[in-house]
Amino acid sequence: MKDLIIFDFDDTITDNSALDYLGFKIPCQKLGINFPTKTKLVRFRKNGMIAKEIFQKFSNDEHKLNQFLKLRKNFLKKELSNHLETKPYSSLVFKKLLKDKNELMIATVNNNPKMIYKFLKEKNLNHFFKKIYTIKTLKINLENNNYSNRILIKTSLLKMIIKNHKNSFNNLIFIGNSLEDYYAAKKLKIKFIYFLNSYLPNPKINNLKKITRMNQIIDLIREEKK
Amino acid sequence: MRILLTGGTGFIGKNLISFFNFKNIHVDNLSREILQNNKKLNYFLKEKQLEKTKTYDVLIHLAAELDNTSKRLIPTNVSLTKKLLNLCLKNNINRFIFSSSHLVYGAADYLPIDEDHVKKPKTKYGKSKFLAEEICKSFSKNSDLQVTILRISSVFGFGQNEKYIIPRMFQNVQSQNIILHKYSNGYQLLDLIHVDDVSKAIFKACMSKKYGIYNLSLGLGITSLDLAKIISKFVQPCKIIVENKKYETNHFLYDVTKIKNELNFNALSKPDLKTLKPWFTKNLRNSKSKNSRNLNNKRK
Repeated sequence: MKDLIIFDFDDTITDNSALDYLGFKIPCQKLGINFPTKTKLVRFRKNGMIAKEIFQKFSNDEHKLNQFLKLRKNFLKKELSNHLETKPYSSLVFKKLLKDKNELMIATVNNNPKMIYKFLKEKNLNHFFKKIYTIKTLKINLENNNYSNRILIKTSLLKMIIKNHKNSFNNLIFIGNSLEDYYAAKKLKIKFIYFLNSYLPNPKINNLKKITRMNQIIDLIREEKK
Repeated sequence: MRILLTGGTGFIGKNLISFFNFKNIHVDNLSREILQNNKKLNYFLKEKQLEKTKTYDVLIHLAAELDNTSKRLIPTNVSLTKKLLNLCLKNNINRFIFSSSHLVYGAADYLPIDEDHVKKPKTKYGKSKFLAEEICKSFSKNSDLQVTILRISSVFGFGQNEKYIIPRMFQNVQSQNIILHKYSNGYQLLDLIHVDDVSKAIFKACMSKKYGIYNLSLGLGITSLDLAKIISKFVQPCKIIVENKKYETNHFLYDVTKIKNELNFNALSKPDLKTLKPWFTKNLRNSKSKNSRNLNNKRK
């Protein structure tokens, strides 16, 4: 029997940093605000700041803030698949994982499965994944816009995967990039690997297996199997 | 089939008796009035009248204390359950059906909640039901008694107490506003079941060869905001106010696969306009007649 490796999508398989930066830069340009460099944005993000708080660093105008949030939302919706990139060596890593007798799947709170399929197809990654689980798979009318909901959705997706494939794998490992992912895995007692990224503050959790690059996954998973 | 019932004067119990009467099934009711007085209950259980219970096939235990602050919570929900289980053993009643609650699960770790979901009851009522379930399981394991536990979700229908969500919303409609902050900003996911479906499920549990623990609900989630919209559209247009207050949101949705497969039970009525209509009609008619009675009194 194979082992099952489940990936989160946003900023685990993808690199969202360019998109995130443009999501500030372009709306700010339209509003006549100079947005600083990408490095500074990374610093804000590492401090755990959300888009609203970052914008307020540059403008206190409530009206402009609302306009910014609207423009950003529209930009991200329209330009999502155009500016998303894959993490370096993704394709090679997925190939090796399959060679090592693993099955790969995706579980994401993203509610746009069409975009995910389109992105994976464009990057020629779609054939690596046996199945992709999104909120739409759950058929539950839940918003993914708050922390506790995201944990609940992610846990529900993982539970669904376990139920659907319980007879077809030995071990299950989940790779994610957020505390929501971590808590979801913890609730179901699933092995978890944390993919550190430029978006979120580094988690202060002991004994957490962390990676910063895609190619570190292979060694960690081989280690887990031992 | 002869059935002994507890909680026959309650919301579910009344409907269940009508349902069994319609099916020409004999039901004897150990009513709340008798149960409230422990002496009378003991009398009933101890005296020769107990001979009668030997002829029963099923004991359905619906009686429960719902008030979290009540001193009778543990005696009613836990001790009485144990007494009744012993009664079954002594008098060769083969099957015991226990009405438990979705509150035994506490907050959902994942949705839909299946029967194996971890139990972390938050309320005293939920904890008492959890304890009673454990006693039921122990009796089932250590004897030939066939115990069915039905974890019933939020029930709605005729004659429901006004403190529950749907009657409360109906009351709100009449005052032109439905305020949703009480229901976690409107986005709380609810899984409801109609009281008639509960009766059908209990009937199936009585008749089926299978027994065990089952989630009982529609298995369909609806947000409280959507529910308010349905009620507002159906009753009279009114403003739905979603107050942006921070409440802990306990989303709830059952996995009902087990009850569907094992007891062959499918809830037919859904929390839509068709099911809510009769309930609403009766409710409004009652309140209308009450209002007119009050007006007449004032005129006098």
